[in-house]
Amino acid sequence: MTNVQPAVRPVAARRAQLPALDGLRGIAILGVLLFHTGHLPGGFLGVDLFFALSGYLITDLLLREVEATGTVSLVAFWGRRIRRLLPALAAMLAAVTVLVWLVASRDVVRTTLTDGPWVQLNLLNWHLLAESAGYWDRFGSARVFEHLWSIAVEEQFYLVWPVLVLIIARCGWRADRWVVVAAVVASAGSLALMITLVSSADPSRVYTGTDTRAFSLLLGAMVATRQARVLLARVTGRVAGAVLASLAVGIGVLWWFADGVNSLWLFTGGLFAHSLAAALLIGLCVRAPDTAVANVLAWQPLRWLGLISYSLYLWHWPVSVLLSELWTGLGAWAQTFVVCAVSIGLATLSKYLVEDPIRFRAQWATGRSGVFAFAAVMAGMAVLWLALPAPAPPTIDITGLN
Amino acid sequence: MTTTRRLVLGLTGLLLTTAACSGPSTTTTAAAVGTAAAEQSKVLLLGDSIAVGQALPLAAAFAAGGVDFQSIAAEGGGNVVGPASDERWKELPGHISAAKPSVVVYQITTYDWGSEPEQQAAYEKLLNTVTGAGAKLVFVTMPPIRPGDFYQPHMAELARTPDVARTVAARSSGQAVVLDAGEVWGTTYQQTKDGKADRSADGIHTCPQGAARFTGWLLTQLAKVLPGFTPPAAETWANTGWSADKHFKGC
Repeated sequence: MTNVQPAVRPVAARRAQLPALDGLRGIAILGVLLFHTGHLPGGFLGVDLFFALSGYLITDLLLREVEATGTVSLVAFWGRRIRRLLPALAAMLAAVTVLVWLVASRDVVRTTLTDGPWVQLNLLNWHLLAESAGYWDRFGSARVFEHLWSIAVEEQFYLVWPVLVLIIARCGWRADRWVVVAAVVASAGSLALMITLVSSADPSRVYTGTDTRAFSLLLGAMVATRQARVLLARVTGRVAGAVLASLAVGIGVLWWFADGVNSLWLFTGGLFAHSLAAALLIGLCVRAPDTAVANVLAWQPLRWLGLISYSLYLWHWPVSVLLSELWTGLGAWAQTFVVCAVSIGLATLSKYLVEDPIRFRAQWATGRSGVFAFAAVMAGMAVLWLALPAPAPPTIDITGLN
Repeated sequence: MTTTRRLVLGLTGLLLTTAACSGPSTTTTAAAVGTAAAEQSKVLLLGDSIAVGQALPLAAAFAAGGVDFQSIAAEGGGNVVGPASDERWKELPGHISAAKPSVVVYQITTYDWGSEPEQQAAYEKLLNTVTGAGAKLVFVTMPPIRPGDFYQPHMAELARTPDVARTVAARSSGQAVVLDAGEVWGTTYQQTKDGKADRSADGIHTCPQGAARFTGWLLTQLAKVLPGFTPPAAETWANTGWSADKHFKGC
């Protein structure tokens, strides 16, 4: 879900565009769309690819900043993240909540009003676990914000990881080297936790827990370091293109054959292997941008899909849930077409009317006025959750209960 | 900077309050407030997600009746035999003894899969655990379900659980009984009853009206087990807000 460009880019962060990485985002969102419309059982691995991309891009920015300034400005970092992620999220949350309240069933209204505050707090993944949402999925009890668990995982990562990089920088250690060490050790710990905590009855805990999914982001982070880049260059040498193609094929095979999110092998090393392959794919796309795979990924339509991927991810699931509620009787492919068309339309509006103006042109979104704008948006959303009345409790007929 | 910090802190507090207010608890320990209270009685409910829903009116009813009540029913589990029951057994004895119950109600779960000897061994183990904690055990048969692909292969195993429970209860020297909830649900899944949504459209869970009917029935049955307990009138617990819980889906 991450995009590399902050609203006001520090000198240290400027670098060449990486079209192949935009294309990878396009592939990732395609996988998720096909998974959620029931056409690609392994498409959920697109989220894993997003995680690895986020880890890579964020760490690359942080390390460039450390190299240029010797430190990390946390306020600036978090300000960029908020400007990048909050506007489109807030717009979608408000619009979907009001729409759900107006037209959806009582069940969906209840879960939407309950989940909304947790989305806002960036803790939705833990809230869904507390609510056993994974269990209820089996009975088709969809929640319009359920997909935002992955945004919560990323946001929690953005809260912790820059602090760790700052500590490393402040200690005067060689940032690159110690970031590799931190990423490798934490990835191993995260994998161990996943293997320990997985339950065959319901793997939701390890699938959506920040601690057990951290390795996906951390392996991406690892590849962003100079040590990893040098090692990757040394190992792949002149066959980088072939290695890249092999990784792409391997990931494609996994996406094709993985059978949903409940297979136990995913949680005993399968997801870790996929994350590692995704991280290496990203690293090689950066190292060898002229290879065939990188050129395919840089294909303009795929890149464009990647550029709207954040908003598309935000919108596609509420559209899918509400469409299923309100417009029954559509065939599978017709439903897929409508979901994709409506979601892409809304994502395009979100990208060009909300995301880009605030990221690139809104001076008011920075500095003190930016803080007030942030506070106003947060307060507005809190008011929304409190002001919209929940459906009245059904009345129990007590005839015969005594 | 100070203003900003205060603003952020205030906002965080507001959000936390919003989040905390938005989700009612699904497991409750009832306060003893009733006039016809059974002195120092405590009912502990075990079961799966069906029982999680039933625990909501039960909590309201026991609170009205002055009996402490706690539910450790679990969504997607709660079973003492069948998938992941080994993991559950690592914690279950501790949970039961910590609750200090006088009666443990185990609603047979939709996950009580396994061979007859496995089921019997598990129910005996439950009986020993419950009596070891100084409580009596009440088995309640599960409501009939409309099985999908997930449950279909295990329907024969589930069908014999009432008989297995009866066998265990018969050897318990009066420490266990089996209540047949067929009196509430009938023999087949019925989504509506008397024109009202009684069971969830998912074919498994209950709606508020069904959970309330079950509660009324169980209170009457437990009055025979809990000395001094008089079931509270439905007016005192049936329409107290619990029916709005988001656990009730497809109703």
